[in-house]
Amino acid sequence: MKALCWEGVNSLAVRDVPEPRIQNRQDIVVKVRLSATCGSDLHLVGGYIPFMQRGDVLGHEFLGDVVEVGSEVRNHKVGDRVVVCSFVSCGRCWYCRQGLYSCCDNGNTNPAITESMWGFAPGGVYGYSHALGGFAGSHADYVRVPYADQGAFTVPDGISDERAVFASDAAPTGWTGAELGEVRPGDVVAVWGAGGVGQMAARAAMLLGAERVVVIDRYDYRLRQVEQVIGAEALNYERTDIGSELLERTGGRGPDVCIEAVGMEAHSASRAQYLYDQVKQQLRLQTERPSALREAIHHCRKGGTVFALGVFAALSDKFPMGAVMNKGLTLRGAQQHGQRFIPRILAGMASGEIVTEHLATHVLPLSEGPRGYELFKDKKDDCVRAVFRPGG
Amino acid sequence: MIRRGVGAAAAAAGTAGALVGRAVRGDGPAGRSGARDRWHAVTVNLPPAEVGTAPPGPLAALGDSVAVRIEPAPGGKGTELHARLTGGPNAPAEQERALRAALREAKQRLETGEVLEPTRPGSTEPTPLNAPLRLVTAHGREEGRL
Ligand SMILES: NC(=O)c1ccc[n+]([C@@H]2O[C@H](COP(=O)([O-])OP(=O)(O)OC[C@H]3O[C@@H](n4cnc5c(N)ncnc54)[C@H](O)[C@@H]3O)[C@@H](O)[C@H]2O)c1
Ligand SMILES: [Zn+2]
Ligand SMILES: [Zn+2]
Repeated sequence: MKALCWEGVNSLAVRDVPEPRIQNRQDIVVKVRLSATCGSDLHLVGGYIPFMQRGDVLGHEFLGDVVEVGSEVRNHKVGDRVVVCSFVSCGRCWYCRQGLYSCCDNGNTNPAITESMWGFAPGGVYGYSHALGGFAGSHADYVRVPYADQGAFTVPDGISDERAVFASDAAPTGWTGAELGEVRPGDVVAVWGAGGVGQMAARAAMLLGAERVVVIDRYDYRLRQVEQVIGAEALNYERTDIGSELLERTGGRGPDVCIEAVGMEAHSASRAQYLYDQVKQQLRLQTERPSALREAIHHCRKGGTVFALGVFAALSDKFPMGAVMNKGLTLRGAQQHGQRFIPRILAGMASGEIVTEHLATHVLPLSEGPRGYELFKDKKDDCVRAVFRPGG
Repeated sequence: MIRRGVGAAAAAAGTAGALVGRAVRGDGPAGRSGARDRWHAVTVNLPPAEVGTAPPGPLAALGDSVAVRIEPAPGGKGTELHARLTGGPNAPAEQERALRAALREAKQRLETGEVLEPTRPGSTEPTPLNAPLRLVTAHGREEGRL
């Protein structure tokens, strides 16, 4: 079958790879209808997460039809249209039972790598490097889905593929940030990054009762979506002083919850800081460019919460620990706990309170995968997310 | 695709792979050090009555080379499975690898009924650059801090 593979740093190709099969009794095989690009892939494509091997299949946000079912799968049958959480989680270990699905003890078949890097291993992810299990990704005709009763969710009729596909990753990630960041009714929430993740975090914060939600980015086409589709406020950091604006919009208090949805390749309004971070990152003196995280920490109100949704790999330089400590902040981060939020998100998609199809600005055949990533990476042609249609 | 910085990133990726390979195999600064006969432990998310008192299959299969201790975990966190090599501090490294894998597999079998398989056959193409990483993934559950 055809799949979009990582060939090396900044090099992708569509090639023939073996078709997946049922390997565990709790697996299903899904014929992919749609598979989306995600900001997390950019960190892999750019070589910032150095655990990819040539030929690895990318893609972790997907929806498709069940074509094969393992003998112990109870919730799915051939023909079901399912959306699959990007995390491979068992649903039965202590972490899964606490709702911390991405921290699953059993979902990563290579726990040694992340145990050595981070102390303990999180669960697995499709198409997300050998550090997270090395599972073949979804930018392919077919994909194997382990722990299918936990990770795959039947999509109710009436929700389009283009909407439902984002229940896999972008929407539950946003939900993870807003809910674990403990957004309360009446809160003012600031979100850094107006990509799929930032937009979904903003929407989740609104649905959890936030009084005001402000999203910060530099791309006007993304900020327009924030205002027109999500219904949040937008700030362009290249044209506004974010600090003064946030003070003004919060009566001098600062946002109650600051959600960082940018990650390790952040841009910076300060050219000097950007160059500093870029050089140190390329020399591997730090693995991240954490400028949005620094800002979120700086602008958060005293006693507020900063939530890191953006992906970071290892070590951040110039981390403002003084602000965290002296302002009494709660700093939290997580990979998404989708299994916990996807049923709620699908209900919201069905009722129309969660809208996502605008994120799929470029729906392309899988054969155009490399071009799709180019558009997405370089934010060309007003791309928010390229989404691939295998066989299409 | 942006070409800027590709060379540096690629070189760094290779180095990082090698470093991690060393750390994960326990012969580098980030790896574990110490005698091979320490206790290794996992916690199974099941009450002690469901785990039982006999060593679970994967550990039992290692026979006399391991000693096993089973205890309730505090705070309702399940049951702790502890295991150590009986061959003393200089027991062969392969025995310690087998012990780690057996502990992880015992936990998975008890919690989920089976052991999760990595993608096979994969689509990875072997290259000199990814050799260290392939070495690590070939022994996915045998290494780490456990
Ligand atoms: N926690 C999780 O489980 C999870 C899941 C999916 C994605 N992610 C991560 O979330 C992040 C965003 O993903 P995405 O798909 O939305 O990516 P994206 O590339 O589409 O969007 C990132 C946005 O951040 C903006 N940005 C860059 N620097 C900024 C700065 N200093 N201030 C404000 N905005 C800035 C960019 O202009 C861009 O619009 C990535 O790091 C991704 O890896 C995490
Ligand atoms: Zn993602
Ligand atoms: Zn689990």
